[in-house]
Amino acid sequence: MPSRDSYEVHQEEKSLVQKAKREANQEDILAAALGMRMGPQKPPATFWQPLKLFAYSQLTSLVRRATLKESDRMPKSEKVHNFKVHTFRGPHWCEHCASFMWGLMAQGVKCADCGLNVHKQCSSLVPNDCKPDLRHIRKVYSCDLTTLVNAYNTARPMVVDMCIREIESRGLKSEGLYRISGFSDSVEEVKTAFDKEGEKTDISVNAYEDINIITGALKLYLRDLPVPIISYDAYPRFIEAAKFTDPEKKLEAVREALALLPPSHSDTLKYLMAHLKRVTQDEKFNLMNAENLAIVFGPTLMRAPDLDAITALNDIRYQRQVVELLIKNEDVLF
Amino acid sequence: MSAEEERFKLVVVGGGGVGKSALTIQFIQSYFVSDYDPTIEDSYTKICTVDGKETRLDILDTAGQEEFGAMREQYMRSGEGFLLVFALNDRGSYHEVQKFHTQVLRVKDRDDFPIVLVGNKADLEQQRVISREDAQAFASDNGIHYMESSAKNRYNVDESFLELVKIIRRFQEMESTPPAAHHTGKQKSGGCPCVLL
Repeated sequence: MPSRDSYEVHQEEKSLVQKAKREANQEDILAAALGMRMGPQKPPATFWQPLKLFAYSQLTSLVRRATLKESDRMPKSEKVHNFKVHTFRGPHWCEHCASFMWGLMAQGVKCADCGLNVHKQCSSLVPNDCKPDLRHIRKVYSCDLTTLVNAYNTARPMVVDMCIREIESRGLKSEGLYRISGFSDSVEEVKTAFDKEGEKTDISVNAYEDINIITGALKLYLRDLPVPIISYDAYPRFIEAAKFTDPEKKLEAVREALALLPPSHSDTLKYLMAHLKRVTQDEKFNLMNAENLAIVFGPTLMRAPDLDAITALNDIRYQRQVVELLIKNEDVLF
Repeated sequence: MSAEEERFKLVVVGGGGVGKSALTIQFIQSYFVSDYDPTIEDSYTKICTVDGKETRLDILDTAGQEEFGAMREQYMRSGEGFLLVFALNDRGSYHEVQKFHTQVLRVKDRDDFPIVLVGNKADLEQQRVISREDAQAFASDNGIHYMESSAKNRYNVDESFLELVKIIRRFQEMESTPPAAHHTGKQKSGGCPCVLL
C-alpha cells in the first residue's frame, strides 16, 4: 500500500516540522515585531525568517498575533492543520499575516479540517491549533480519529459505534465472524455511504444482508485510519510488552502502553475489545476465539511505524499476542 | 525441459475461511484439519509425479483477509500457478475470487496465466449458493479450468493441484517456444488452456 505509506511518512515529517517551527515561531514573531533578536541562540534561521516576515510589511497584524498568542499560550488539544493548496474565488486575505493573497489560481492553502486560509509561506508559521469544523470534514474514512471525534463531538467514531451495534443486533453466531470477507465492492459501497451520509448511513439487514460486509466495513475503517488505533508512538511499547514472558509483567507493560494512547484512541479500543470479548463468548457458534480474532485484528489495529518489511513481518506474531491479550483481559485493562 | 529437477511455485489464494489451508493440508498430509485458525502464510513442499514426470511443488498457503493484502502482490509476482479457491456456500467468496483473478493477471501483466478455479466445500451440497453452471461459465469466459472439491471428503483435492501442474507445464512450454511468431498467434488461440476443458 504505497499510498498509505507515503502518507505516514509525510505526516510524520510534517508534524516534526510543525513542532520545530512552532517553538521558533513565537520568538521569531516577537523578534520581528520588535526588530531585535531574542535569546542566546542564534541559528541562521532566526535571522532570515524575520526578514521574510518583514517583506510582507504586516507589522501591526504580527504584533497583534504575537501578543494574542502570548496570552492564550496553553495548547489544549494540539492538532496540526491539514493544509491543502487551494484556489480562492474573489479576493482573499491571509488569516495569518492579514495581507492579500495574490494570483488567480492556487493563491494559498486551506486547512481541510477547520477551513483556515493562509499563504503557503505562512502555513508553516501557524500554530497547531486546528479546531476541526464539521462543515469542512467531508470524509469519515481515512480521517484522523481525534479530528473526527472532535468534529462530531462524540466519544467514538460513528462507524465503530454503528457497525458494532448492527453486528450485535444480528447476533454474534455467524460462523467465521470477522474472518470471512464480505464482497469487497459492497464493503466499498458502505465506505462511500459513510463518507457521504455519515450517521444516516443505512447498514441494516435490508441494505446489506451479509453480515461480513458490515464486519468488513468496520475493519476497513480501522485500517484506513491515518494513525492506527494503536498509535505509532505507542506501538513499540506494545511490541516490547508482548516480549515479556511473565504474564504479570506482560499485563503491566500493556497497561503502561495503553496509557500512551490518545483518549479518543483508547476509548475506541476499549469499546471494540469489549465487543470482541462478547464475540468470543459465542465461540461455539462462530468458531472465533480470542486467538483467531487477534490474528485478524493484529494488522487492523497495529501498524509498524517504520516501513522495513522484515521487521513488519516479524512483528505480526507480537501484534497477535498484544491483541489477544487485550481481548482476554479487556475487563481488567481498561 | 532439461534433465534437471522440475520445480513449480504454486500459490493458493481466495477469501477468508473458504478452505485454502484445508485443501493444501489435505493434499500434502492427507488429513482434514478441523481447527479454525486463520492463516497468515504457510509454505509446504511436496514431490509428486505428474504424467510420469517427477515435480517438486512449493506451495504457498496464503491469508484470505484483506488485512494481509500488503503481502499479496509479492506472492503473486513469484507464483507460477494459482489455485483460486472459493466456497460453494459463500457468495462473497465467489465475488472475491473474481477480484483475485483480475489481480493475478494485472500483476503478471498478461491475458492468461496458469490458474485453476476451485469451488470448495462440495460436501455442503444443501448449502450451495453458487451453481456449477455459473462458476463454469465464468471459468470458460476467462479461459481457466474449473473444478469442484471437498477438502473434507478428499474429493478432487489432488486432482486440482495436479491439473494446475499440467497447465503450468503446457503454459511454460508454449512460453519457451515463442520465436515462431507467425505460428504462435495461431497456437495461442487454439493452444491456450481453455480448449482443454
